[in-house]
Amino acid sequence: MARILIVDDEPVNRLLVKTILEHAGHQVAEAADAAQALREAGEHVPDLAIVDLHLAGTSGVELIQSLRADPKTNAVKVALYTGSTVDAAMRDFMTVNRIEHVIPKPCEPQELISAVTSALSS
Amino acid sequence: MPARILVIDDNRPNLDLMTYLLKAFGHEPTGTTDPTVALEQARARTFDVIISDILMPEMDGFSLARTFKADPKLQSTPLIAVTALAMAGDRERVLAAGFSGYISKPIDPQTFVSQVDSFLPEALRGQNTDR
Repeated sequence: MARILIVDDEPVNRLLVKTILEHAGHQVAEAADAAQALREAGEHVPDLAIVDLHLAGTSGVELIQSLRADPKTNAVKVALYTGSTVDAAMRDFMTVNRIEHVIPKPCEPQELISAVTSALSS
Repeated sequence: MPARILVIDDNRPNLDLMTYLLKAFGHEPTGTTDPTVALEQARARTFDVIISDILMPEMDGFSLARTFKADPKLQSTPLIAVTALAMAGDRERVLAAGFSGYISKPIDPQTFVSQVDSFLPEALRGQNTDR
């Protein structure tokens, strides 16, 4: 069982991920924006943060940079959750920020669980 | 025995959530975001219950219900609306269009399948096979 934080501004996306991962035995917290995510991650450091890149307000990219800048959350594993293709600039960002996993949106439940298992064990 | 359930919602995460939950409880859902495809599937196969969103751009749930209810092959299949409609008179409009009942949106993962099961004969009701 891992502690997972899902960050997505679309409530039904969070509900979908939360439902699937809770059924898989994980403990899941939700955040609708970057500020809420940083607060939640500061209070209960997650094993993995699943971050939608296209958040309203502060972007997912800035959120990840803030997580990495804080010694408390610096080591949190991060997976991107995005419907966009990962371009060269994003690959560089991922390398710099130690992100190895991209969960495609939409994705099949089994694909989500496998990606999370893989991200947690990396 | 699992129930064969057709689920129609143009919002993909909503559709995925409903089909995931139905599958987790042992049902056999078929999901589509396109009401026209749903009509073709409903005519080609037999479903025990059909679940449909109401507000969809191409064909809304009311038109879909009227089409289902006008089709002799489909008119006896229970039709459930999944809707965020919350105005006075919405319930009456949904039932008048031919729906057997409705489930409020956003759906509650804890109760969704039991709400669907209440429209199914006992032998077809779901069991949590997920854990």
